[in-house]
Amino acid sequence: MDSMLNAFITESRDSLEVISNCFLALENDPQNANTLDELFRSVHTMKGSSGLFDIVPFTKVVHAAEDVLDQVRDGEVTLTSEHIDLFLDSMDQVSAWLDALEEDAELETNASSISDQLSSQLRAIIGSTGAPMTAEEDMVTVVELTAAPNWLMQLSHEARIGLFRQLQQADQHLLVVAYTPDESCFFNGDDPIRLMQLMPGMETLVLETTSDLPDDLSTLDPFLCQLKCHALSSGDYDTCHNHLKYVSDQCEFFTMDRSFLAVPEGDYAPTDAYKLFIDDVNFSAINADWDKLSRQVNEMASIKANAPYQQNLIEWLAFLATELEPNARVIKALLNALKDGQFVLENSQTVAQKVAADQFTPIQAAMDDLIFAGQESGVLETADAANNATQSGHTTNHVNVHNNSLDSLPNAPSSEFGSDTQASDADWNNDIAHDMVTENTTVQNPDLHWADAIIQVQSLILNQEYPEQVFAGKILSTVQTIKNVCAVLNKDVGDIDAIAQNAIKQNDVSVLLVLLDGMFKPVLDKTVAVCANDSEKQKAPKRQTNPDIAQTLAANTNAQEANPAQPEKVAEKKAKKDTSSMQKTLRVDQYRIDALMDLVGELVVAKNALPFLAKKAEEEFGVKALAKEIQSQYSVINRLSDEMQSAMMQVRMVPLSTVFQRFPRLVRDLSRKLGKNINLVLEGEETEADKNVVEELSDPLIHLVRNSLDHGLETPEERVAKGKSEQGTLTLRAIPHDDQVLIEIVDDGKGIDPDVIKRKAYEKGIIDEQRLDTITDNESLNLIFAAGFSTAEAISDLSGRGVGMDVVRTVIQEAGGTVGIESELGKGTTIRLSLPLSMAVTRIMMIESGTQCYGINMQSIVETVKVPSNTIHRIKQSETLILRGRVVPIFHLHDLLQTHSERKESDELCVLVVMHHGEEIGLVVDEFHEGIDTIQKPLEGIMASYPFYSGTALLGDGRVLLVLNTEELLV
Amino acid sequence: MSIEYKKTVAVFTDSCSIEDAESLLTWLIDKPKAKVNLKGLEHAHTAVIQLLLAFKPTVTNWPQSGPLVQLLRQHLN
Amino acid sequence: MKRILIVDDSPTMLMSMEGVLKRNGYAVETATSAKQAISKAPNFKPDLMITDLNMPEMNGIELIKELKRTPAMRFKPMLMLTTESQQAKRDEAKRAGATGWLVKPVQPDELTGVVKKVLPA
Repeated sequence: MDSMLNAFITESRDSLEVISNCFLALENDPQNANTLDELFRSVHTMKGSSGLFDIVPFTKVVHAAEDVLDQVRDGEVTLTSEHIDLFLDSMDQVSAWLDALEEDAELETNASSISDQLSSQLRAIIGSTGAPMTAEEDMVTVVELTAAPNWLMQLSHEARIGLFRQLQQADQHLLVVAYTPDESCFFNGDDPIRLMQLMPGMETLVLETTSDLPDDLSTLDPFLCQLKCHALSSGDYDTCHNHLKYVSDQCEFFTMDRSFLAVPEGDYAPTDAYKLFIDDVNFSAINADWDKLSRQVNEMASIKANAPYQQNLIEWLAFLATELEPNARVIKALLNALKDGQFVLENSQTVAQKVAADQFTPIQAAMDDLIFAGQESGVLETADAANNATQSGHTTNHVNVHNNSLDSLPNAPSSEFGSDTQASDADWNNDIAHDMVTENTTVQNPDLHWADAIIQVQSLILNQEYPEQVFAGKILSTVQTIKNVCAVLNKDVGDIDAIAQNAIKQNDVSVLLVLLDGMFKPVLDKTVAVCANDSEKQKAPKRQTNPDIAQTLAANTNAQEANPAQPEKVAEKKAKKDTSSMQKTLRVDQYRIDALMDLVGELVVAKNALPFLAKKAEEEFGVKALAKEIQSQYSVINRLSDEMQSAMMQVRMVPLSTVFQRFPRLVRDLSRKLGKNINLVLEGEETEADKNVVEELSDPLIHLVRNSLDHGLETPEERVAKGKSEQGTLTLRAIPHDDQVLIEIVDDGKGIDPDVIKRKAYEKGIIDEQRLDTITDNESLNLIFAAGFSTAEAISDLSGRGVGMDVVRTVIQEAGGTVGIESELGKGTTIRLSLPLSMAVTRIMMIESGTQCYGINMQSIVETVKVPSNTIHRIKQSETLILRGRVVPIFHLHDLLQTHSERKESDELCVLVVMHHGEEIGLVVDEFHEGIDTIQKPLEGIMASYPFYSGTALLGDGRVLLVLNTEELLV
Repeated sequence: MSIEYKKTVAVFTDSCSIEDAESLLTWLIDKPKAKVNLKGLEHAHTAVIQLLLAFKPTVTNWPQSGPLVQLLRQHLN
Repeated sequence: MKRILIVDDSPTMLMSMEGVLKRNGYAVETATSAKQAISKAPNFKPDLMITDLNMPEMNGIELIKELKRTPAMRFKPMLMLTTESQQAKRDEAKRAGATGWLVKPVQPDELTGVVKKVLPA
């Protein structure tokens, strides 16, 4: 991958971490100037660097964040928790984009719309209207054309059809660029035609003179530019706009459905040959059955009639019917043209005029009618009306009222809910409207659809251009409509009045639109096409009306609703990065360290072979001198490999903060979700442990923390009722202890009730009745680690995912550690984990029992002692030993292992004293052997089901040693 | 030279820059029945194309390759 | 082979850009001051000039204005190197006759991309 991109991704991930920490710090200390400064700088850096790459959506979001934060640090705005939520979500998205960049070196296609949504939401915090991406950008926006621009008709039929054919794989919407170079542009070194030809996705270029030629051509100034360029591009707006950035003030951008390329040509000769076809195909069109239409057209196309115009037209129909989103308006115009040779795609400007201010009131009145009709028919419930009528019984009324309202609209386009239609063809309007309405009313929740449709229409209405004098009125009436609908549905409108007033004051509706977007699910699949005026050069600020925006915005809102856990997951994933807190660091890929570690480990094991060799040399080959030399060389290599091993251990040591760092965010998100007030305290995060150990720790810790939050800590109300502080405290503490690290998870919640545990364990058959009586309260707490145990009645989403406490214990034990629990009912719970600092090479003592050699982890061994057999005391079935004044219970290893081998009779017994749950226990073995350093590997396959073996180790002479798990043995 | 001015034909080759525009204008004014041979033309600065569009001289040969082929055929026909 | 004149009072910047451009097949001449650029231009006859904005004595905008007065350079593309925040300067440069700008520090890809775009065929 591009190393520059790589560096950017790494740098940005670091920035994101700082940003995340700053936000969390701000929650507790929102005015802290240092934090705000650090935060702003990180965002600013990320924005600047991102500008080096073609990732406009990314930069847009970060830029929005920067602008907001700029005002925050100026003291103009204070951030609330909701704001911080939004920022954190945005940063999560940015992080996800970094991942995408790492994988694919580009952002996904939906990045643009997500970016638009996020950046306007962010900017809404400061009431800004979505400032241009960089300061120098003009307010250039993309307008959708509703007909082919005149210049396009300069292209011949062949050229246009050829273009169409060529573009079939591309997006249905084309970018249309109008570039009117300044007259003096040549003196700026510009070559407009060349610049256009180099534009990405350039499909066709048409030139136009900007002024009439003078009669006397000799007066022409060759150095003044008097050409205008029109281009069609299959590229996307961002790329093309960037290409034209130095002349963007001279350009305008539009999008156009390529269906508008379809304009039939040729001589029209009326003929009956098409009569039936026309009827059939009209019917298909009315029903929007494009597949059928396509089939009909293809059939017709094969018939050769001497009618060039119609042939031409049918050729176009064939293309248009198979588009992803067939443009009904154009198709209808073509079909009409079949009848009379007149292709009339009503001039878009005329339609715009019709939807002028004085037409607006009827639309509003019609909307009111719709609501009223809805209420009347009982489809929309009024607050106090009893709903007597059945819905089906009133459907017809419903439809009729709707149609009547529509008829009262003089040539308004809203019959197709926004898409401008041929206003002169009222039948067509009503047909479409009828279809849409009947479709809607047969759906399960017609009332919701109606409300959604109405609010969506308000949104579409707000997206239109209106003269200044009606702007305020438009806003007020749409807001009134929305309030009406919401009142009927008992839905909250939020701050809509204030937002509306602001919109009027600032002459901008984008904040209002964002509010609306959250209020409806789009049920109508056409968006309003804003009409292009004749003078395409309109400097008045317009909003982007990307036809996909409504869809994707709604889809994103829905997606976000469906995935509430999303930010959490991303936050978790994010936190899995290894960071060093030291000043001078070297970034090394993890796999290189692992490779090095493996090699060192192998070296350690390999060197162990040397003593055997020395022994062999002496005993088998009788070369004592050689044996001695091997031994002395061995001690050198031994020392070196030990040092190397220690050094490697050090390299692999990472502070626990790497696993602790995710918890502030986790605790914050979870406690908000659960409605609890939790203070997280982290201690000792600088304590270091082997990176493997720390990684193993991660999942169990998450589970334990979630447990505390979910079951342990109470809600603020509960706590106050118990006389506790409203805020609960959760402490994560790491303490170094010899060659172990102790981790404590302490909460001051409601504690664990031993009686409940005992009873549950008994009910689940984990303990029997006898044990139920004898088990102490302390011992019973440990039962929660038993397999099959869970007291949560409904396993909550947070902690009951099959990651039970038993799994936690298993994972910790496999890492070579232990788990313990203490609790006091009503006061709180403490869970203690102890883990070895390193997992890699373990020191093992070899012992013999019944001619078999086993290994025991040195860590468990307290001491080894040989005692005379008669010093063992036997009491009933148990044996004990007095060791320096302490009574130590004795067990025989081969009894525990049930190996049925002969007990070696002797005067002396070898006793291995091990630590077991805080007690000393003696293990009688046949013989002690030396201690060795090995890499202990876990058991796999069938052997793994024997819990008293903790793993295997490879000996220097090639033998495999079974390592015993004394904890399990002695249970 | 990118434009070779013969008696009745101006022969264009390779690239024509803006610097060629002035002399081209003079030549086109002097020769109302001017003809242009664009066969070898690959690139032309806007100023040059602008003049061709204004005067619409007879084209004896069209460009063979490059982005100008379609553009000039479209506008000078 | 197209010829590019780069002007910057920082030798490091010059070296870095020169390297990139040469690797991409352009002939490069450097100047550490506007005055030097003005004296080198007639002989070198650049097809494109890239100049830093902030230079002692004569800055990039003045340099552009000066060279635009000469017939040889009046139609040649010129790019100015600016920092992120100098929006006003970019506008002023355009009015002085600059074709466009690049924001420092310039990445090799961006440099070559823009050069390709503004250089005549």
